[in-house]
Amino acid sequence: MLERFRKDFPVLENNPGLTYLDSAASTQKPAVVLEKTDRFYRFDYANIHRGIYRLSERATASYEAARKRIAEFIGAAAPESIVYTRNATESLNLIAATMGEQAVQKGDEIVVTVMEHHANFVPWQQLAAKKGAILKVVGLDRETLELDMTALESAVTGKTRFICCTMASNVLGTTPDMAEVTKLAKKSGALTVFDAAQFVPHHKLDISTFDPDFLVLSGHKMLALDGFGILYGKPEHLAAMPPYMTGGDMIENVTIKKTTYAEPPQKFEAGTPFMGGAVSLHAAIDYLENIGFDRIQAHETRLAKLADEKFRALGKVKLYRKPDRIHNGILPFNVEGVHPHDVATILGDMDICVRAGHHCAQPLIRFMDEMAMVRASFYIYNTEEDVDRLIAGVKKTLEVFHK
Amino acid sequence: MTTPLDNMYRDLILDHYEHPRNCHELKNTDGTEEGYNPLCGDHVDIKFEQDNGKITDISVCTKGCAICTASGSIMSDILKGRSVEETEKLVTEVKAYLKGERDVEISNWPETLQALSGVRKFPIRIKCALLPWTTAELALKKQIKPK
Repeated sequence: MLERFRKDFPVLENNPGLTYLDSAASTQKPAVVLEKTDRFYRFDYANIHRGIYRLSERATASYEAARKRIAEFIGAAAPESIVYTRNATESLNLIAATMGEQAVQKGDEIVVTVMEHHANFVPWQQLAAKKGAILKVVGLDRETLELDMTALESAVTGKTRFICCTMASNVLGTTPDMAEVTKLAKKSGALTVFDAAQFVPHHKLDISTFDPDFLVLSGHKMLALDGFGILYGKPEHLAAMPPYMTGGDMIENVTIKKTTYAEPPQKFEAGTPFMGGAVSLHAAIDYLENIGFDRIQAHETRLAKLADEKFRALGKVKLYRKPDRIHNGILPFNVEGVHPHDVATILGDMDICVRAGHHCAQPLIRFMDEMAMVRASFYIYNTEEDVDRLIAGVKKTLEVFHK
Repeated sequence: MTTPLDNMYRDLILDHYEHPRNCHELKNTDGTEEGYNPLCGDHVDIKFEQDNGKITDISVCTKGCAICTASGSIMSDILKGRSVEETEKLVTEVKAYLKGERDVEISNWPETLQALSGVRKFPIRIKCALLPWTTAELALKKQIKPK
């Protein structure tokens, strides 16, 4: 039972009666993350890497300690392979604009899956269009809604430069076999880009088990502050890539004629960064690991399955996942005869927060033959009462629409 | 007691959602326009025929939520037979009223149009209600030329 962790979240304490089922969009923040970030600004804040005084040294130390902690957390050998960005979206754009720009030529191929978030779809689509390359979109098995590995295998050829794949679909919760994807990539010489944004809130990640070329995540989906994300890149790639943005903090030497750049990760961190974001992610990782990912998964999956069961008993609810394939706390559904946006409005009126729409995954929504979906996403602070309130909300929706 | 929710999803609105009017083929299409609401995926497809600056027939086909669909259906009933000038004035009024930008006298509006007023309590849904109207406005502005 993780119910006792609910009290760690001030937003939930400050909004009694709120049922927050939108953690896949963004998680709430535990007090300890807010306090540690607050403490950093109250005691240790100064600009980093340049102040020749103790306060700046402390700020730099906190900033770099976070990098070490994040590297450990994802199983990366070198902290220097962790680049700070604003979010997973920026990380993906960075890869497409640097390595993508270098590696992809006319006639080359980029392989993505149909379940990508737009953040891991549009940059590749645009890069392909710009370069005259081919974007191949791999579908899902219609029965299981798992990644169609046979289709992926036949999509990947000697011309494939990138395989870009989510580690957990933000709509379906589907988690592909990363080791299989990397194996295919290595055989063809393609680079892998994994979007772990929806995966890391729920799993211990160990990249040494599947050896990706690139991996991205967002802090705000795993209890840290919003506006802070991570790009992991293999050291040899980061060294070979041109900078994404230029300016302060990322240079080695600037003359009127010429600039040489700092080593990674600084090469990709132009300008004064979001130090509090780094501190907050460090605190969030400590908090999550202290609870343990096995317990987190068991709790959220139990709640999502309970909701699924109650929806099935209620009828008139279209469910997309088979109960044994509910993962990452994500439960997509639709109410028969009611548009998802209307469902979300009625639930919202009852202070039940769900997401409705295309979930920034329009190719997937089309693949599913829907216009939109409702998504309830469960996390550590949700309770059985939240499940009951969700069911009551859907009953009310049916009532309002005379169904 | 009527709650704001009941007020928005009143029977007239639900009826127009379940049975949207005037989605049909036109004999001579003088103008078309499509409108999207990326927030929820609403999609409106408007076609109209005009004669001397008067809308003689209109088709509004909506794929979307109850509010957008009902609003488009209600609009299609109202715009048929109106002059382009009258229509443009009405669209401006509907926009101002739903957004709450200024006081708009609605007692002379058709009852069906007044039924959209419940949306005003749900700011995020105002866009849904307005999509058919703004799409129609665009269609007229871009394409109608009195013969």
